Amino acid sequence: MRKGQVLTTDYIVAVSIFILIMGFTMYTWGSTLYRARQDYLTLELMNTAKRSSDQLVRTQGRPIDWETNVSSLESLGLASSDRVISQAKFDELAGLDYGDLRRYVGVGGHHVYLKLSLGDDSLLGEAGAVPTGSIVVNSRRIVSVENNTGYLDVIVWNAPTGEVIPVVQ
Amino acid sequence: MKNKGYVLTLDAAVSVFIVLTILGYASTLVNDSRVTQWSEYQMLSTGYDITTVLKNNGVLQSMNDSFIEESINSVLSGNYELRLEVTSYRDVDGSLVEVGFMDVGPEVKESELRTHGRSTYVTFAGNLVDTYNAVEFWIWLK
Repeated sequence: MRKGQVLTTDYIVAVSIFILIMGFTMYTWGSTLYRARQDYLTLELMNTAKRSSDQLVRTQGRPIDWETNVSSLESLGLASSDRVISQAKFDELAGLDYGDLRRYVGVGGHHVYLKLSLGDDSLLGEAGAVPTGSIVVNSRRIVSVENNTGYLDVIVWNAPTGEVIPVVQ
Repeated sequence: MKNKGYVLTLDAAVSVFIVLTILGYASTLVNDSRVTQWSEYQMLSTGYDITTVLKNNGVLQSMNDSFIEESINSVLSGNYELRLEVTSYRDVDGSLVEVGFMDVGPEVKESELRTHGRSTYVTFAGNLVDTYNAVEFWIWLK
């Protein structure tokens, strides 16, 4: 009888230690996987923001006068020359359908919000969807616009599936 | 028999502890490197954007250090500090001779996050090239 009780105590202690270690390992593994996924997503958003902002501030788009006939647009660019933003091009971009805007900016399955402002942060225009996601990456570029110095913010973000996206009109 | 069991449990616990420590540390390192990578990119693109915009607006060509400094400060984020050096050369009988030097901004500080870039531009006198200019910038977190 006594021999059996010792074995049971021994067994309970061993199982408790096992469950404790197993639980801790599973928790750590789970949280590491979660962080790795978030990290991968962040990296993807960073690369998209870099690539898209470079394309917008350094290229004129194709054709170079696409703002005169938006239906001819093949490749999006907002510059009239390197880092000089054309307000007319930005205004036409802001009038694009949100799906088309995402496609032309090249953000894939992510969302995008673009903001053009002067050096004193007064707004010249905005387009896309206001960020509500958990991971938001902002590539702020310094540009010339309307003979002033200003900023083009290219904000790329992710949203959980099914969430309503507030698109700027 | 009982001692043997303890040794095995201790062995397992130590192994799990080591694995978890390495896993946690590796995960922190990966995360930190992403943040650093992005900050460096932001600083470098800010440096190149500023020098290009100053060239486009004709501010750099003025070689007026207080005007250039004022223009930089009007757009540079409060987190950053930037130093700019411009060296001008002129073609004299087929060889480039230094004809001017200008520096703007504070002395370069040692900072964990600091980056550096270069660009060039030319100025014209009529239809002919007057000076060849080399721009160098350093940008870092305050």
